Amino acid sequence: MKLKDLFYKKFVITSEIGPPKGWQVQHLIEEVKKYLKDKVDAINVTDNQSSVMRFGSLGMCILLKQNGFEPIYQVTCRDRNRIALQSDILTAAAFGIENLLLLTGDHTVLGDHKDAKPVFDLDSVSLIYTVKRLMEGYDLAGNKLEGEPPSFCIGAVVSPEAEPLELHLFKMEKKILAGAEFFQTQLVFNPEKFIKFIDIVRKNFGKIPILAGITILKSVAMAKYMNENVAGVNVPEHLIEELKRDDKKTKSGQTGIEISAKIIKEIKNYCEGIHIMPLGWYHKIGDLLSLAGL
Amino acid sequence: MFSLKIKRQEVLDLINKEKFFVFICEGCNEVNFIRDEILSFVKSLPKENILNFEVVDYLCNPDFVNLYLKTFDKKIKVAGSILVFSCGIGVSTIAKSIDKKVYTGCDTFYIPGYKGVNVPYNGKFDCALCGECYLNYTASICPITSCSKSLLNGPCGGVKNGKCEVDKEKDCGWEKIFERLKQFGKLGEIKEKVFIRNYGK
Amino acid sequence: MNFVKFILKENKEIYELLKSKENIGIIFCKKCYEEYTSVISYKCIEIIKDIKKNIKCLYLNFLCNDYYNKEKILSFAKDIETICVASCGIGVQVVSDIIEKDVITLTDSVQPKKSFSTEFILHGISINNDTFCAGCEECYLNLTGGICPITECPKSLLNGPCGGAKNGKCEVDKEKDCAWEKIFDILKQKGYQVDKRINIRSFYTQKFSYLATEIKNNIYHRIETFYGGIHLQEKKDLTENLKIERFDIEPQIVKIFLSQHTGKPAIPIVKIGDKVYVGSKIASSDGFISANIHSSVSGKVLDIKEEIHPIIQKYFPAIVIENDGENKIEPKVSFKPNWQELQKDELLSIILDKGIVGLGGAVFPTHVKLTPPKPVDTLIINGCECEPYINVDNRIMIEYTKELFEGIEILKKILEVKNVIIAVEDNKQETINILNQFKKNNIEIVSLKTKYPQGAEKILIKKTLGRKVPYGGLPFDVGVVVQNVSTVYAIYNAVVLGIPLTERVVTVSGDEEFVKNYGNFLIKIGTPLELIIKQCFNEDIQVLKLSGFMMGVEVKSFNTYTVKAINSILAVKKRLGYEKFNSCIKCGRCVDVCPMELEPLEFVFSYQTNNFSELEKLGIKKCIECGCCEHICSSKIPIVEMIKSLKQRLCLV
Repeated sequence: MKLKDLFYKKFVITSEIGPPKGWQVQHLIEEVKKYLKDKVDAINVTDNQSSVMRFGSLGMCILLKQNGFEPIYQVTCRDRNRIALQSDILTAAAFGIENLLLLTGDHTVLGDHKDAKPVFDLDSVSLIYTVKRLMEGYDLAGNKLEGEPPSFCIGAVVSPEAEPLELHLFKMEKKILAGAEFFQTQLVFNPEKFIKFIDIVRKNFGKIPILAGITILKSVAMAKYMNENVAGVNVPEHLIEELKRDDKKTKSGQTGIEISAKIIKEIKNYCEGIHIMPLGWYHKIGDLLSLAGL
Repeated sequence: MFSLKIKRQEVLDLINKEKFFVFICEGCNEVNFIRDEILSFVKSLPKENILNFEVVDYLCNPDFVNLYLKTFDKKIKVAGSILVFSCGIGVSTIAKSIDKKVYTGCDTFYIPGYKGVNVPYNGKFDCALCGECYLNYTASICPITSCSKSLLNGPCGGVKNGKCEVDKEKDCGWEKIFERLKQFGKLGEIKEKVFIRNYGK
Repeated sequence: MNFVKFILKENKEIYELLKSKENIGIIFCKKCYEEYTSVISYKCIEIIKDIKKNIKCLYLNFLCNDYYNKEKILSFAKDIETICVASCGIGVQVVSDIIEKDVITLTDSVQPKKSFSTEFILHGISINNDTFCAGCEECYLNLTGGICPITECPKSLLNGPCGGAKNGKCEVDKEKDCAWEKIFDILKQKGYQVDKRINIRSFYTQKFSYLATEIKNNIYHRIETFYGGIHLQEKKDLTENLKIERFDIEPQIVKIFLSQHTGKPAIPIVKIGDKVYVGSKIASSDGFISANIHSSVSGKVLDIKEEIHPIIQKYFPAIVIENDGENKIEPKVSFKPNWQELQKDELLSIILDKGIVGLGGAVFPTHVKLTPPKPVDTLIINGCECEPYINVDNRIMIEYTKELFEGIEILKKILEVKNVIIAVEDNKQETINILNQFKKNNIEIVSLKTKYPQGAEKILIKKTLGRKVPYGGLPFDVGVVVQNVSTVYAIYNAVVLGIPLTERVVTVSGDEEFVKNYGNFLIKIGTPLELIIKQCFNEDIQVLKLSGFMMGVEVKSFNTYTVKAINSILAVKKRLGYEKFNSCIKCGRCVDVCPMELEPLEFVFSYQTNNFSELEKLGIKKCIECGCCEHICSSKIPIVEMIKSLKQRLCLV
């Protein structure tokens, strides 16, 4: 089921899982079954997230599909050249995977295999273009594909709170022109900024579904770390103050849930859905969704 | 332009086994200023292994290499093997010009610039000799060399405060390109173009 | 093999780029790494002229040398609407950044050769070598017998060949040998130990901060100290701790040349048979720019005849004196005991009388230099001694510090200056400490980064005071007088002790295989060179240099005699490679090292094509013949002698 068939019909909720550094992934499937069944419309599987080598996203997507979930296959350009990328995407089609999230990917120096060769043969824009071509029945070198062309719903990413915003809107437009059909955003912590972003997007790019990125803040340290080190993320001071106020409450996750629920309530009329990045706290997603009224 | 770093441990491990004549190349000393450091390293090595050394230049020129090998022929014969402190080209050129074993004492690094000894324009710009120049589309800032990922279609999401995710001191190349395109009113020209690198050039 | 570096884009593309543009100007880089010819190797003009009329063009050497080309680029671009650039990517970006406008590039930059390699391959400083380096930062040549697996193998494999080679040729190109087969052959043939480790590349290469440090280091050494110059091996440790001592062999005969200085030779005032003493005036200055000459021994005038002059290297008249070995001082030598009571004119006349000339090498008559026609506000004492091997000024600063400072006081009085700077290179740290202990108010001791030729007058003034001596001008044009340390010591001797200039400190040194006795010797003027050579050097010297390793002269015939100008006698190795003719390959290094900011490769080309029309415009008269260009020349062209020859031609024309 393609996500684009859900947008505008309901408020779409997606989440994500990061596979482990190992091959025995059954426990993760069990956790997903326990906490995410019937709560989310689709689950994104990250591709060697943060350049840390992990179990493959394609394999994980296949397992999710076999267990009754709708996977979103995330593909980065860091590890594979155009040949391997096209090959893996065709493979995904054979297993009923219909949703893709295409990104450039973090540089290898940020991960645990710093010595690895960073590939970046294609980037997010050219990868979107490549998938579009595959859907038209041709590979990137212009050769006709055998049989029916695959069919996907193509997603991309954007950072609505990054500065200068114009720079990121420039790239976003290129992704749309290349064929992106929906966007999953970086974490949102400033509703006014997000609403302004949406306003500009609507005015300039028209109707394009946006899934706002949401997470549950676990601690003051986490907020500060992200401000310092994670691109496109800006946790405002007043939220950090709120986390500081009641240590026990924050530790239990309740403060984080309240903060995120509030944000969701403020922005839900402006976007087509949310994407929850649990960062391990799958068990809290249920509480968050109820508190946000979803 | 080449910069050098001495492979100290590898040299120390390697010299115990044989007797060496050492060439120290100072041809690019005005690029990397490492000749004096190499000289003191060589002088500190045991004399029973390092029989002789000579400071020469332009070991990347095969004619000069032949001249040096002839001039120091006797000393080389007495030693038996050759240890070279120079970039990879110098080592390879000597290796293919003489029938003795040739070893390198350095790792070679690249720093921007091709001609002369001064890093051009403070090292701000570099050229990847890609064969399909993108400068007409990127307001004359090279996306291949100024972006850590050599992206061709705009910045990735890793830029923070105008700096690259790879190093907080490094500017995001694409942010610079974007500002320039805006300044010259050329943003519209590449919106619909999708650039894909041709590595076959 | 010329390294192409860049090629024009296709005609169609150029047409598209330019068709809607007006008022076009093109900046062409004349390209590097190809044999120097005057013809631009790529013909852009014909194509462009089909598209547009009235295109302005600018041709520059080494477009990426912004320091050098910035002004030319800015003034060309001023009234032009569309600037196009034909150069490699670096040149284009530099031009665009300098003029702060968008430029159109007409070229694509290309790799030196089609390599199929995964890596960026780089050539060396030679156009006749098909070996390259990838700058990979973890050199594998010790495992592969000197054949680079990264540049030679298209897959850059590190652990042996893949299965794709057929008949020893690579699957990528049937003409190309399999690099790993070549490697295994070499390893076996030369008897290397085959390494069985598993090699994995690390791409976690230069961190940006390491690269930034290297670049900063380069800029500091190449430009911030002063633009140009080179860092020679100093070789001063051989004599820097040797105290000044008298050369202990008395010459039986001295021959004192009538030309010991810049300007007109002196006129002899003695005749054959005259008895002379140490310090007796034997020749009188002839005209304003000239100097007196005094005997360095006591004895009898034997003859006035022509001998080979060590610096001029032609026959020149010299006064021949037989040394009686008694070193009797001239009884009638004039001496005024308290110089502080003398007026500046009297001090000057003492300096003239005692035959003092500049002992830094130029031997310009000091009394003339100390009467500048324009007002001066600063005196610079040049203690840089930037030539390698030499320690003359250094030892004087260490051993005769008190005398040096008194000499400075004398100069201050003559020149009526308040500001005095003593400039010393930082390879003489202990000397600087000693000077700092001794100095008084208003004398500044300045430590300068050691780089040749920091001690050249114009470079020194620019560095210490930021003042640029105008073209064709002299230091007094910017209010400065420069005096060498040895000269100041000679002034002290003349004014305070009444001693004329008859001997001077000379560093005798060289490369270890040639030298028996190193020293900083006090040597009498007119001493036979052979005497010194026999005493200090071995039988088989290769090259003998007088007055400096870089700017001195090479003597082929040792049958000559010392003069005031000789501050060093050096027995050094021959510099290999300069005998055979090699053509310029436009590597750009001579331009980067010229401290006077000239383009030496243009002079070479003028010399080789006998074309003298551009020499003035190229600024040949600014050349100080420091030798930096020749030293770094990657084709080992004897540039300095070509420039000297061209200068002579200019004088004749």
